[in-house]
Amino acid sequence: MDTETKSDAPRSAFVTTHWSVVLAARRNNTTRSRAALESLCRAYWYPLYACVRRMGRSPHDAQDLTQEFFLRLLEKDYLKSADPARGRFRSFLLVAMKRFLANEWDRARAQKRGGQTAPFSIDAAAAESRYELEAPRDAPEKLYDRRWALTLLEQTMCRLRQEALAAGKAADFDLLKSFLTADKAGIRYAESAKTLNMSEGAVRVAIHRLRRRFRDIFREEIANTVDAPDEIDEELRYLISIMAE
Amino acid sequence: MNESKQAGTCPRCGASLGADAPAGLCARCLLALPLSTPTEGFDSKTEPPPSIAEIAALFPQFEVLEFLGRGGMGFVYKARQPKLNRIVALKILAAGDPRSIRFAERFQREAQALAQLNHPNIVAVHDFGESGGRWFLAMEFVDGVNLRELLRAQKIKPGEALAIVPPICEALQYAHSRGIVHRDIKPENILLDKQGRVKIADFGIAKILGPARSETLTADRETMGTPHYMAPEQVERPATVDHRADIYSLGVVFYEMLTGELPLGRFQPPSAKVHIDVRLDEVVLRALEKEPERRYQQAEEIKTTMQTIASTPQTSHRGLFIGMTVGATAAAVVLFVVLWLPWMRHASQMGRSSSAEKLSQSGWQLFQQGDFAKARDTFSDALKDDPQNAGAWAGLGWAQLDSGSQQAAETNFLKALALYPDQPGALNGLGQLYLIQRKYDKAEPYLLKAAPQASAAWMGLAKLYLAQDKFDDALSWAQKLVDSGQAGDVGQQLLQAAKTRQVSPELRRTLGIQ
Repeated sequence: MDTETKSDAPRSAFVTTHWSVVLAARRNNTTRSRAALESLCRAYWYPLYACVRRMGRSPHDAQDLTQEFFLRLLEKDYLKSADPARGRFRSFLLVAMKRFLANEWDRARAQKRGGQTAPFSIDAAAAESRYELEAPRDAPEKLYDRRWALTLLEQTMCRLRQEALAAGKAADFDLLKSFLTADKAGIRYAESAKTLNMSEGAVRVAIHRLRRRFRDIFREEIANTVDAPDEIDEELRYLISIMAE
Repeated sequence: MNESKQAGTCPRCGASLGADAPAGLCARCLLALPLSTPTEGFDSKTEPPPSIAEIAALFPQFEVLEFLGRGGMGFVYKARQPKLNRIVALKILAAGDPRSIRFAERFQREAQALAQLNHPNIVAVHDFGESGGRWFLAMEFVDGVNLRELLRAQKIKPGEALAIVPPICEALQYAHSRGIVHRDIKPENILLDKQGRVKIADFGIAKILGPARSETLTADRETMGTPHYMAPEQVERPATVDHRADIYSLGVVFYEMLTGELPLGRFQPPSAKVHIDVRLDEVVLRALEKEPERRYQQAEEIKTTMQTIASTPQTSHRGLFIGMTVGATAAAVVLFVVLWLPWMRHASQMGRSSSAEKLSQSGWQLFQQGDFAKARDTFSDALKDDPQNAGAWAGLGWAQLDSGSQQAAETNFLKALALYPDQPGALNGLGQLYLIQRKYDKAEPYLLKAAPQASAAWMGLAKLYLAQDKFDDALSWAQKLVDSGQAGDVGQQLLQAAKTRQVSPELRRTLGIQ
């Protein structure tokens, strides 16, 4: 997903993270910044869809609305209105959506362009079946944030698996991944070693490496949505607290 | 390979996993992984520790005895200083690290900062030096466990938690007064030795306030500390961090000791989760204030506040025990804390006559002695004197309930509540009454309302939910009951029944539930 942007070999690793690229290119809509924004939208449209549905819109309306919003986001210069002080894509997206709803949607409804010209389309059926699983009591914004956190986690796990696959170790990964959330005292290293046909020491190292990789990737995914490195921990804390409720 | 109670629950926290669980794992537990960047430049977990022989060769002044484990910044060994014939903990920093110069500087700073601290609750530094590219720190050897191990083993009762906090406050106050902030207070860094003495270790990320040094040693954005225990300003505005960050971290540790959980998001006050004096809520919450200005400004304040709470007992009633021993030493002193609010003294239920109030109180005493008939008469007398005394109406209700007059009991409880809607005795009484009558829907709201004030209601609630096969609810109340140490056999039976989700016929008969 982010291979296109990374190939530009920038000076510092952080500059390639999507949101910082987008913000940096605010006025000049370069191909790279467009690609970055597209990546972000492709990853995070569902939390927005869920939020819109929770605001009371019907599935049909929500789909149209979300689709149209992203279309305009990617085409128009919504970024001019992005508040430079709030460097977070998560907040920006929600605010932009609300603004869109308030100002433009009614007019846009009549002349919506539809999904054919969109760079990505929203799978309505999938979106709705996911939405049905959502806890009914969360307010729209809360639902949005929780979904956001879950999306980050999903992406992280996905990348972890892809890495394992590329290394030919997908089967090991599928067995070891549950240890990410295991209580250290509860891990039966000896048994796992047998099942995986590895030494106990190798299992320990594998689990440790997996945890570290999880951390690194998760932080990268968050970095993609913030503007500066010192914002990662704050966003992390926020998401942890959201999920704890 | 990895146990889970049923398919679809998290093996770590027991939460049920929905279809949207990322890769089938529990989201909250994934987020509980250590996610901040490490403070050390090397990964002490994958790098193998130097052998004992290697360390002995590097540091001939020590007799290296055994490898203890991996610490925050290196490896820790148990060693002996032959000259002084004492046991020390030897902390070794890894060699060959590309950023070792920076770490060596930080290490040295740690050593010098620690060397300034001489306090019974702070792990002492005896020596430090370098050899063959490896830095070492010789520290006081603490023969015991750290708080994390105790928490994991769930061996901390609220009373013990309350005994651990004051010495930490003393240690922090001492360090703060010398311009040293710990910055990484967490259970792993709080040690308890075999005598029960508390010692704070690893002032390794100490920031020295006061006369500034000319070079800034940490110019980059490395996060220091562990996110869950870090004060908000440590994350958001690291340059503004001062000693009050330690107070926040202490608050987190305190909360975790009391409840077994971290205070995340919108968390409940400790007294809602565990059997403690509600006045302690304020202590914990104030330490956990997001703005440093709103917290306790000195660690000492926390200690004195807790001592004040401990020394002003609240009167007990019905089924609760009181006892207070505040030891002067920080040893394994157990501090029993009363859980009952002083409803006996509440103005709105004392009515207008103090003689009636006195009669009411003696009525309760008779009641506790089992003399229901006399108690009933005493309460009646009290009410003759002052028909507005809610406590006496509740007392009369109980006396009647215990001698079998349910109808009269109900009337009197309702009268008490009409005068004082929060009267715990009456709330609990009505709850128990309806429970006996198997009017579960009526009983529940009364028992729930009584619960925060009357732990006697907890047993009622456990019974109530068991009778309705609501095992999860029964479990939490039964657990509370057993944790408070009051319920004895019955409590254990209730807990067992709730855990196994089965109420045997004998138990049903014993408890008088259907």
